Amino acid sequence: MTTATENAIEVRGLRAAYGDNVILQNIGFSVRRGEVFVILGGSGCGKSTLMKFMIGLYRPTAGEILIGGEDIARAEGADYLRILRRFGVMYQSGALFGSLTVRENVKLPLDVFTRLPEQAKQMIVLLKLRLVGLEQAIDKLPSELSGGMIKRAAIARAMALDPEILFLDEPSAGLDPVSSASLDDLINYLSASLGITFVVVTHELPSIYAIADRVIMLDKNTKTIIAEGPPERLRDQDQNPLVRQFFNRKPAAGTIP
Amino acid sequence: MKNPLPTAFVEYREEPGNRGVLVVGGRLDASGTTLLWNRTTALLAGKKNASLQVDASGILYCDAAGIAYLRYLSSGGMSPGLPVTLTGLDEKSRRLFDLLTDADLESLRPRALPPRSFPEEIGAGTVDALRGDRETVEFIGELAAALWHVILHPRLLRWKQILTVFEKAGVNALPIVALISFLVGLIIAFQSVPQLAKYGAQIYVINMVALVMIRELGPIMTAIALAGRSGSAFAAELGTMKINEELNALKTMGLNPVSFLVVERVIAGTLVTPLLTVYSMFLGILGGMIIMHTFDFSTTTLLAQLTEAVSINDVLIGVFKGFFFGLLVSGIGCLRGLQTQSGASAVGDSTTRAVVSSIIAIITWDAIFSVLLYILKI
Repeated sequence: MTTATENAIEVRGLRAAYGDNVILQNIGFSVRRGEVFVILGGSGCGKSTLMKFMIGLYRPTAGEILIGGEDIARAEGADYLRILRRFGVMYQSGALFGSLTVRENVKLPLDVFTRLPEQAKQMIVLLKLRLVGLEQAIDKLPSELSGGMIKRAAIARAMALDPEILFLDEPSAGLDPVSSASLDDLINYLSASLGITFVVVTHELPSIYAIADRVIMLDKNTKTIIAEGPPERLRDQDQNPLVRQFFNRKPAAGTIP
Repeated sequence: MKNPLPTAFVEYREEPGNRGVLVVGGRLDASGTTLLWNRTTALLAGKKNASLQVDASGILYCDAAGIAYLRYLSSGGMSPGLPVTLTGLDEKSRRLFDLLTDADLESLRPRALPPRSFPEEIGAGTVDALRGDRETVEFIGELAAALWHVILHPRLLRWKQILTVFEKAGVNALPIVALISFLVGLIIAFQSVPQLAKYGAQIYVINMVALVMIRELGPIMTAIALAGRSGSAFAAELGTMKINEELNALKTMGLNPVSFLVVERVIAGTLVTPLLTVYSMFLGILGGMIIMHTFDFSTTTLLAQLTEAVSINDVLIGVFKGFFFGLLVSGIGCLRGLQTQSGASAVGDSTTRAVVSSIIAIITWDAIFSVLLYILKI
């Protein structure tokens, strides 16, 4: 374990590209331990791309991404696997394994990465599902779940190995306002009770106000961060009109009304 | 990675009044807990104290694995019959601990489903089989109606789609059909020559190869290649469309999936198979002739022998079989695709079922044809 003052994640000078197509450049920010950190921006600005680089699915062309002090952008082999154990990821569509029940989905990482006795694994699964409020669906298949339940099951699976950090990609996408709000409550609850650090990619304003301690906002044209700070401050005080437009839900200038 | 926290430990001591005390501490993560679990089970084995106290004040870090351990321990899972008290657990872990109850331990104990009785099995099997048959009959009816409709209104057909299927199922299958047929013709001739040579009747080997290829193996091998290449593809395509709700989209546009998707595949599959079959017959005979050549029979002799042995009826039977098998394979492929259930493995399952049912149908119908033709003496 590292010291408590150190940041959970540090990104420095990141440049993200698919081939020759540069998506993001000069990205630098840090996520503090235990906070709910939101990455936001308009459609196509590279929010999800940034997350995919942070969790090591792609390698950046420049810069470093320190997770718990270790650079995931350079790590190989056993080092890489050890960094992976520090975080869990909830993908936008849940990415639950369709042929396994919710119980088996959550238990899979425990089966693969621990040698705990079966009783213990079953109890951990039950505990995680209770934490996300999905106990009643424990033996259902993903195809039998509603959108909100799929996200909860995916969060439970991401938490199976007790990671310090949870990455959530668009947790409220495709959910009705009620499910979306109750998912926000869940994030706040997990953050407060377990002290998990959250990195959330979203563009839903109500969610952002409800959960975010701090946000960064990305911009499609400059391909970098245009604002950083608590959401209320950005809404009321930021100098950049793009940022105020986003937080006040104004259409961009020159678009058809 | 620095790891300043010590690993998990557990100690056991006995206090006056026959009380057992278990001191647990350190870092209760997944690996620490695995260690603790085994050690505690060993420590408590055979202990007959009046009560057990678990002192958790030495715990520095406790994740869900640790919680599961403490819950199991304090519910008496490792010391049956002893009253257990847990002390010294910090506030945060206590809240997680309280999420699990003694009743959960009971409910998590693995239970086997009661086995179904024999009559129940028979009943369930029959219902499943009948439901499958019903779907098949419905499908045949819909397909026939859609085909009839298309015959009356040929302009409704999307010829471009049919040509695409023609290319994929027919033209692209030429190499594999050629390879299989040529080699099978060659092998039959090669195995038969020494046998018939015992009677000095080697020349009849070419009759055998020709008749077998034309009446039986040509159609069968073509159909099996079609089942493996295209029947499976039809099932996978339609299955994926069903999972993506594309079939529902067609229905709400007022388009029947059978007439929109199935008909063109069935028409293309049915028309292309007789052509492939003729091609297969030809290459099989060619394989046989090449072997005969190595046994010093001239091409002229062989061709004369062939014209005598093979009648136009034989060729027509082979072509008809190709036509029928083509209909069978493309129909089954599409039916299995439409029957796809939900789930990640569903498309794979329908693809497998498409190929297996096609092969069974091909062989069964070929046997039926053999018997019929024998009775009719064609």
